[in-house]
Amino acid sequence: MSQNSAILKTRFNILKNTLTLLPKEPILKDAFVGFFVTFLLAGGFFLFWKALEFFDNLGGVGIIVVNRLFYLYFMGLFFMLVFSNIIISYATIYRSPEVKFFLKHPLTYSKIFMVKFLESMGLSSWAFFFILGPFLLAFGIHGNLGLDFYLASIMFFLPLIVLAAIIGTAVMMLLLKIIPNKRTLIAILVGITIAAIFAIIRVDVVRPPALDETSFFLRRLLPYTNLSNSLFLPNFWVAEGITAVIQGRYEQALFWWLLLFSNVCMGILVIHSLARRIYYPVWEKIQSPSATKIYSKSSIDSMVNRFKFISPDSRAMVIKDIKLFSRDAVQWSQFLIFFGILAIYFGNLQSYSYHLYSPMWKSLISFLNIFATALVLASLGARFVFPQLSLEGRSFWVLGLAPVSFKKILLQKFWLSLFFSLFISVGLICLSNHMLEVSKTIWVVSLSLIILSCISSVGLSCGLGAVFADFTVKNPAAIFSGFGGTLNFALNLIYLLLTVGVVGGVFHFNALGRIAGIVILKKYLVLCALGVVILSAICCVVPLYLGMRALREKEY
Amino acid sequence: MIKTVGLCKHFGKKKAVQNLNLEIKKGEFFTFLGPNAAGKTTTIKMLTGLLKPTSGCAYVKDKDIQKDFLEAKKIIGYIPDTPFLYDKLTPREFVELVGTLYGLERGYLLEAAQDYFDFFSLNEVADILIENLSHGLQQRIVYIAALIHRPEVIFIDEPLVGLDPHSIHLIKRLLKKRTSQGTTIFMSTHILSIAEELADRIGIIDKGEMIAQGTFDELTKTSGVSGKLEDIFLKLTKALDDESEFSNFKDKI
Repeated sequence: MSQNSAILKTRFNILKNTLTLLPKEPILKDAFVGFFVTFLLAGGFFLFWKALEFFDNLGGVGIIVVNRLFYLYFMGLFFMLVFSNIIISYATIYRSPEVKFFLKHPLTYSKIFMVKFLESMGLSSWAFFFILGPFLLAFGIHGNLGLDFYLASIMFFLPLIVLAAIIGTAVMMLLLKIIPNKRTLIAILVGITIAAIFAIIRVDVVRPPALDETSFFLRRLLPYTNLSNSLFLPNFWVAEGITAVIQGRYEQALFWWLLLFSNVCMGILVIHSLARRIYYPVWEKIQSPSATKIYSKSSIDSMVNRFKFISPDSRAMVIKDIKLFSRDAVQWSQFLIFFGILAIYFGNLQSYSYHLYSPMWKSLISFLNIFATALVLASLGARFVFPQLSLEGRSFWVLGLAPVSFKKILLQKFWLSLFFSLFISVGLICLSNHMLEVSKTIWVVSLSLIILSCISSVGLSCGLGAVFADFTVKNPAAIFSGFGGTLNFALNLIYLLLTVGVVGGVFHFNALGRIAGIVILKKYLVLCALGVVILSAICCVVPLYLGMRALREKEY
Repeated sequence: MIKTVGLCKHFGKKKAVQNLNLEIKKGEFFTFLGPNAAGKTTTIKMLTGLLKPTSGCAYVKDKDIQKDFLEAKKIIGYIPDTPFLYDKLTPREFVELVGTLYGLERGYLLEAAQDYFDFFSLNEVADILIENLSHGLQQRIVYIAALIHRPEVIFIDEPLVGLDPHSIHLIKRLLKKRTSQGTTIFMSTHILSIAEELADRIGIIDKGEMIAQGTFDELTKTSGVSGKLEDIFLKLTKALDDESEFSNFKDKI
């Protein structure tokens, strides 16, 4: 058996063994995951369908927008794929323990690289089919397109995936070659991302005075369309190729596909040759310990120790958590990217003259901003807050044996996460409200909503993190992508839809004049406030209570 | 100081520990031997309250480890076989964290930590991140973290993994000193020479059952084998029967 076949067979065996375990999973878990996936796909389809319908209703200009949307969509996918490959290739190709195992065996560096490259490509790309599927279906049904459209889309999307993987992986390899250490690398990546987002947001600097619905949407979309039509970008070849298939211009479609394919072949040659030369030196550089910085007395200690009302052991755990977070660039960079993007966007709301819009639009934008902030918070909560307790399982001999109750550990994590969540999200919503120059009522409602969302989101993540704590798992990805992690995110999402969605809906209908009179509005708002407060209390207290109870029964 | 009554632990159908009855006195150095998967770590985890027994009870200084968990934890120190350290903390920060969790007074904690850093020659690395330290240096930090609160009972699971001869020498002396001061030590190890050298009493567990316990002389009598502890251990665990398997092994490569 050749080396390639042996490695492929191993991958197949791992997959087979994993699949064999599936029937042993509880039916409830499988049913829930199945329901959640269906919900996501159906939700995606519904949103795309509604968007296409909306543009259709705009008339002539809407049809242009729909066509542009098709090109924009593939541009978005392409850039997201490249970015995803940049991030995942680092973890898969350079930090994976499996590389060490391969290096002990008589395999060439380029062969090891290609195996890990394929793995990285798969990990970076599989989730995109969940975005592609609903869009293609909505677009296909909307345009009454035949089977050839779907087949062509897949035929064109596959080489795009490979090309994005080649570009993303090559970018990461070159960055690692040039940049001296991991910290600088992450700082540069964060900087590039934020600068890119900033550039995109600031593209639209010249604004037409008209502010009706059509111009509102066109001004949001048109600045992007030029880039999506660039001849040098592979996403344009994909969109052109699929369009050619739709219009029956098969020779042209073949030309665009061959252009993609030839670039993929060339890209593989380039990356293979690059890997032969620099993969091992780069890998070796990453494994060597970084410069040993001296950490003398930290300001975090003195800052936290000022809060004398917190017990010394809780303060010690808080100091530990803050230090671990602040020293791990991989963690804080994700916060910086997501909240940085929101902050830049909110900070630029006046550049778009949103503050001059009608109250209906301002109210809509304001609630969408709350939803976006709370959603980012929920995602980061699922990624960082939920796995916290499971990850402490590794330190059982310290925390598990110290004379500190599990209740105290759980509550410490809850309060610390809540403090930072509130600090960031309340700040963002204040910025959004200030820029939109919203009414006092919206100020009060939006701040109340975001505070309650924070409490619920952190309570859910901490509580369910304790209920589903698995002290044997070392990989955070395995924790938050498991059943408990998915349930946590799904419940967060449902909570947001029920609260922000309903309250925002009341304001929106009121702005549209569909709620008759201030008395009825007040009645609705009081009902909403009661409902949101009760739901938030349930979402926070119940999971925390269940979490504490579960921790008492847990074994290390 | 340590007492177990009919201690059992089952994982599904697998009986990891069966009917374990032990009594270890204050200041005694007890070593716990056994082949792989014999139930040593499971026993230690039950004695430290990290695992709940399926049946039976475990007491540390007359405190039921399940019922008086928090009280019992105050007097326990544990050195696991695969310890996890927060790699983004420095050794000093880590030891301060552990000391504070045990409620040590800050002045005493800083002084004691410094003492240990001197003793284990860790001063040069006390303020750099743990992730930059070698396995051996990390193991020394584990000892400091487990001993800083002066536990009355110390549980050690594979004590000397990754340590250099100098550190091993230091730790052996330190542990002996602690037992002479009244600390009870329960140590599980595969290094039989260490057990022979340090232990006051030895217990041998196999397939979850305690098959022998006593002083070295008592074990010699029980097994009917005179000589090294290795021979006694192999005899009692019936590992000598496998000799024929070794002679039959065709080492083709």
